[in-house]
Amino acid sequence: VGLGDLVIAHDVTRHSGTPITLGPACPRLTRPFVARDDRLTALSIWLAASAEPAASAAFSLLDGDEERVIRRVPVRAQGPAGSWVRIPFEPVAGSRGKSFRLLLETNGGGPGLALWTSRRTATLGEDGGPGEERHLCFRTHYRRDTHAVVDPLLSRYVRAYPETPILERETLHEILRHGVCRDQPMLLQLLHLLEALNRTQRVRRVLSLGGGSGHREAYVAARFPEMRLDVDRGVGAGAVADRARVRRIDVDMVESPEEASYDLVVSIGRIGRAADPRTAFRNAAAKTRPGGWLYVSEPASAMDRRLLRDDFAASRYDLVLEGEIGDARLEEPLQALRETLDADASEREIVSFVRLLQLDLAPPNVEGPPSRGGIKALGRRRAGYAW
Amino acid sequence: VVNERAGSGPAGGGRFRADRDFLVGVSVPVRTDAPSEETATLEVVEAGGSSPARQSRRSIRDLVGESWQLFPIEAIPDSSGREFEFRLVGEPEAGSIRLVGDHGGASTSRPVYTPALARLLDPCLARGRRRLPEVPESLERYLDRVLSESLALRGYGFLDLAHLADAIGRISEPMLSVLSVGAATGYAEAFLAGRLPDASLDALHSAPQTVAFPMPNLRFDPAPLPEGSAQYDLVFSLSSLQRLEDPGAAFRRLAAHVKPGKFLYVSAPLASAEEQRDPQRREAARQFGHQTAGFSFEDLEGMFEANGFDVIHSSSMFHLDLVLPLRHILESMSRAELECAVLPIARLLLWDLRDEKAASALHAEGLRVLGRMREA
Repeated sequence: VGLGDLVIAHDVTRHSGTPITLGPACPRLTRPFVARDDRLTALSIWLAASAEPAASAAFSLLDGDEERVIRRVPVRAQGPAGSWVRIPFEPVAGSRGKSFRLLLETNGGGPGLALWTSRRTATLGEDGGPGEERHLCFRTHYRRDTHAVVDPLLSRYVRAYPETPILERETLHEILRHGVCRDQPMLLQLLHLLEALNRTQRVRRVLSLGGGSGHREAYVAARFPEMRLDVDRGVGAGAVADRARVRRIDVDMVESPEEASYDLVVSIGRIGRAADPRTAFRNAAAKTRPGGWLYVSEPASAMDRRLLRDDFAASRYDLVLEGEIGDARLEEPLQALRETLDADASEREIVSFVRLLQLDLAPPNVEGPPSRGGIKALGRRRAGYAW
Repeated sequence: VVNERAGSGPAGGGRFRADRDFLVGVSVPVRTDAPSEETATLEVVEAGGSSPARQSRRSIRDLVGESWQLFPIEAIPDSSGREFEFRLVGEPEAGSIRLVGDHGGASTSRPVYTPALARLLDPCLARGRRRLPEVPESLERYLDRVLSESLALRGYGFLDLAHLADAIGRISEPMLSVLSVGAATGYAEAFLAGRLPDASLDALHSAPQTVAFPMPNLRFDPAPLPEGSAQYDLVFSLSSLQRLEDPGAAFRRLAAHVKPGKFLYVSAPLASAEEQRDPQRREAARQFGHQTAGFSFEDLEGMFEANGFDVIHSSSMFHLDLVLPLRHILESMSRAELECAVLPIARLLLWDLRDEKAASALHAEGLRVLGRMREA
């Protein structure tokens, strides 16, 4: 309940009318099906126990090809009248379009469990004509709009690309989930980066100078199919590996003075770590085209705000956006709250945590001394010649 | 910590002595060897006992490697000084979680009951020149409990109190007599009485009081508001004005209890003039037993002015960008999880104390006004 959309698997073998009884004569029942969506997380079957006490059986979800058991859950039918039994299990990531087999088995003793399907399921479905029989219901784990929770930050680009490509939605969802559950600082940086991105125009080619796990770059690439991202050696490989439109460059770009012509260069926690931060800044600033943008974010301990301003001015950039990141009064309790909750956060929690983190973007005038973790700035390179 | 490799048996366990009451969780360092889709259960047993006193089951799906995990349990109220044993049990066939026992046998219990909660609102109360007394140890757990309980109700009780504390902080004069009108649960009054022991606090409550509070300077009175003789340094009413048929008359009765030169604080639901006329909002308000959908700043500040008060401070409260997502999280939390997270939740809620005046209930659901009665 409240988990998401109901999706019907149409290709399940049909048994309308006659129930299949699991018992000594038929201890196992197996059916193939193809999942229609990602994060398959539950299965609903109409079950009746043909004997008291209520019979029990084991449900297994098998990999369609290898017959390997992926999930295993005990099920119990409630009395001979039968009822819908929802069998929830840990979500299976990347399930869309994959073949599975479901397996129901009893221990072989006593008349056990009746399983059948009927037209009653029709009330649960969303698609298909009224006469069509529907048998097994699958529920996707993620709400289809979870990935859109940060879209309001990107109003300028979202107008151009209102819809995330269907195949990328799970990626966006997984990155948000990863951020909320495991890497809140990454998520916070991503939100600030997206807000800065919204101040730019017509960005197609992006260079990321690293200092992270690659999730932020993967998010931008997945959300905006027109953008091409280059990431240098500083970016972690895991999240961006095998991603279309993300290219790894095996050079440390902040150490290289060579010029380039990117629309946007992003440096999160990278310049401050360089051996000579001022040279690193100049090198990064040389990588944009005239009129391009440079976004820099650093921990407050690594860089002084005035120095950063000077660096932008010396490289002939106009500051477009300047601010602070990570108010401890928000971030620390949010982290503590997150740790208290179960590791497997619900969709609603994910959305709520992302919304709460967004308070850091434009902190209201809250009582008490602010406590900031980092600084950020977005500059635009002046077009034309430097005389 | 006894470290055992997990198989079908327990994944490790240990023993600790709780040093406070209201033990609500046990944190243990665990190691998961592979990404797992399973759950783990932590059982807490009274030392020498056999059946688990409490159990906590957590998903370990997102854990890889070594990390501290909190297993919240239903609070054990009188846990102080008692010895407990705990054991971590993995799924029978998983065997992928175990306790990490390489910390020199250090105790792994962390009772989350925290004295910091009792002092959380001190910066608000002391923002003027008010000097707050130390929290006596005997009162600490009661103040902690009062705030925990008001948070556990998942309503706006705690926030209403925080905003009141913030208003009191704006008053630098001594405050010896305080009157609360329309007290609901009594938690706000009990907290104030505990934290301001020099003030005597009378509370007229609308519902029968079910919780007894040990604060000696707190008196609950079930009588309706008597015709007033101005005798209080501060009169406050938390979110109750909207329940009355004639708020103007009720406000006059409140105001009559305030000494000249002293203070009146009122909080209420916010609704712009247009929202007050909206039939849907009026119907929703009626379902909550409210006579009106709310008040605008002009309405409430007008009442202060008309009754001889200067408005010292007014701002909106219950801002939706904070309370709405937080409410969704609180609704999904079990009571045990809530107990463990009381302090971070309270700290997050303090983000509602803003110097803002939202124009509409679409941005904030409440407003508060503090006024001082003119001498003449």
